[in-house]
Amino acid sequence: MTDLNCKVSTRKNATLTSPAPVRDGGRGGLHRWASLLFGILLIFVFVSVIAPWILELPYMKSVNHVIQERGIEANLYDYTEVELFADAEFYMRHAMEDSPKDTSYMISIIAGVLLFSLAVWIGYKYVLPDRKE
Amino acid sequence: MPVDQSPGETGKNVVIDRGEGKISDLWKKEDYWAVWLGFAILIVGALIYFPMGSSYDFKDKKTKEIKTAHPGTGIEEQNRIIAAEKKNPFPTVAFYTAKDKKKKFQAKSSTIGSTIKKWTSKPGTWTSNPLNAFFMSKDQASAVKKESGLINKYNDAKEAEKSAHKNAKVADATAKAAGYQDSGLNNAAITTIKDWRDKKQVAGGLKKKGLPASKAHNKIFQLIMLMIGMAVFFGIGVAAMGQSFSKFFIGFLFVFAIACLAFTMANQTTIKGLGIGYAAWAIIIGMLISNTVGTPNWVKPAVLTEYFIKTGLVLLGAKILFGKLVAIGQPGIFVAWVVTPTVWLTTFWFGQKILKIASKELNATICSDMSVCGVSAAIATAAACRAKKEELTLAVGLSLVFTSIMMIFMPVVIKGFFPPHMVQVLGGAWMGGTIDATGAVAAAGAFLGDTALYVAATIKMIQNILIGVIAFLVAIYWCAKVECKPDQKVSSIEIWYRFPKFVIGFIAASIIFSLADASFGGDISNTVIKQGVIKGMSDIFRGWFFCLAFVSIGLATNFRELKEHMHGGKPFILYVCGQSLNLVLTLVMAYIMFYKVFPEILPKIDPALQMLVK
Repeated sequence: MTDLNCKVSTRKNATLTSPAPVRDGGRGGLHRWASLLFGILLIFVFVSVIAPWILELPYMKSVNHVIQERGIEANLYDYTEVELFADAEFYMRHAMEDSPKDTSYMISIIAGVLLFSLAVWIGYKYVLPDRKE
Repeated sequence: MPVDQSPGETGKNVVIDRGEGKISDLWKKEDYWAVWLGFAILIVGALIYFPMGSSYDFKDKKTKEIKTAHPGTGIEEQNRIIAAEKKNPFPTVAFYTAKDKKKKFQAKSSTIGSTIKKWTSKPGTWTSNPLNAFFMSKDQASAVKKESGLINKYNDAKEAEKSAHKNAKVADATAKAAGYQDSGLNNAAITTIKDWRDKKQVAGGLKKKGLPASKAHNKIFQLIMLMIGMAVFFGIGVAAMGQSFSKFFIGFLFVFAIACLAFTMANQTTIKGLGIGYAAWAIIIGMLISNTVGTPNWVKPAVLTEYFIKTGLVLLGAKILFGKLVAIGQPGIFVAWVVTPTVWLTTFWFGQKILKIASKELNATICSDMSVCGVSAAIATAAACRAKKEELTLAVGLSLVFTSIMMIFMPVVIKGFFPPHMVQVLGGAWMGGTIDATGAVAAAGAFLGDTALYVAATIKMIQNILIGVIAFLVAIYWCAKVECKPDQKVSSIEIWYRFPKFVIGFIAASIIFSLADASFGGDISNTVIKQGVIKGMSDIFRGWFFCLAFVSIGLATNFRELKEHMHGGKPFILYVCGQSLNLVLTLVMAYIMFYKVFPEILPKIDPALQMLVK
């Protein structure tokens, strides 16, 4: 599907779109289905026994209490999905509103961006190895 | 793009590309299709939500009547109150009430927004019966409510909030009567107002978390329709790229079903508490199938990891708003933007030179997921440098494990070892800069307190802006240095040919929405962009697309290949060393910035310090 394999590489299986693994031909159908059932059993044991036990550990209990009480989606990956991040932005915007967006404020923002660029430039020039290395 | 074998390199399995671009690439290449599909969603979202800045219809949850909200005038009115109240020495009850009212203007709450949400919703929360994620009758719902005591808990929390609100109003009025000149009355008012806000958070949390889990619902029909809709959506691109639409369609049904299963597992209440998200479950379930009974042949045409990831990444670009940096950036820009590249570069160098990790792609993916923000950064980097699916799996797995550990132990360390006046701000900044996943940052921050949560979340948001920048730079580095022959000079046009075009879509989405954000202005932008196009459209689909991608990764991952990458535990060592450096540098930088360079910010963001100062 992709045209992205055009690289100097000895990687046999490059890119995220490489094909699905081929089943082990040496194993019988019954063995494969038994393995699947065993995997499902392990997941079941984890969800119904191990995970609740972990959450009952003394310290974990208090962490979980906060998570439940505040309705925090602790297993989400993006900040826009987590409601509390919107609260945080709201709070911080108001807290920062008192700081006039004057020259010194903007200089500090620009200085941060410049330092970032400097770090990237030094890295590209002197730290990141070339292919030949 | 044609591929040549260099005569001199024959036999070494070295291939050199000869860049070439054609107009037909626009409809024949996956990267471009990711851009078209991603932008199609964003444009539809913009057409729906952008006009809602002036008014929109919504259904009142209490009366069930359709009402009209006017964000323009409503927000203006609340801003007037906020401006007047800000003259007082501390945030008053009226100030917070106005803020709360302003927050209610959300385009995604409109009737169209609610309909989109309904037809794209993921399997719901459940506790003991997984079928409840899809279907719950009224009887079952009331039984769940009774059994869990959710309603009682919520009612108690609501009562406590009301009572605290009353106390706060009395204390506020007393302080006001004294012209806010009596520090004793002021401090009493600050304390009671804080108590009210805490109780309001608790009641809000219970309402959000508990009540939806015990509401009657039937998502089966919607999920089937969504599955068909998404199959057609992606199928158009598949057909244009010369693959069989029907084969893709049939295989997609299976991939989608596994994605639903992954969301179901992630939405189990105990699993949520442990911070194990859908990505982990999608990979686990996919791998379990592919490495036992095998991925069925009829499913393979729909196992299109990159296609799903790239489309999701274009959508991700829309939420990377640069205006955020100017609005809330000062306290955190040095922590997030100086430490992150330093850690990335040092860790990458360490991986190549000291650990001698064979795959630069694996090294880069781990560096991004450890130093930027976990799963999203790992996906973006892996796609930009064309990492193997096993490498992305490994990087995401490491991130998920360490995120859970850090979410639990960092608050303990901070509470145990930090001076009390530094717990909130320094602790929050430290966690925000180092914990990978945003959900875990919120959980760990909330455990320390509101201020720590807000600081941690702010640092994380500023760091999130880097996802696109890092992906762009990685793509450039790969095109210009990594993917070329020794001593070969790569021309700009060659870099363009090799450059993953979806990154352009990602950056373009970010720039366009940043400009829209700036032109709408803070509050209206929040209503129509953040709480409209992003939360009411792109986030919903992005979640699905990434889940489909992780299912595809699982269905195409071989345990044995994964084991090869773990050789000598090098990825683990790389992550641990990199994260240790990240922890040290973030702590030092946060201390210098918050306590030495910008100490005047502290009283503004920490009410406790504000009280001390006042």
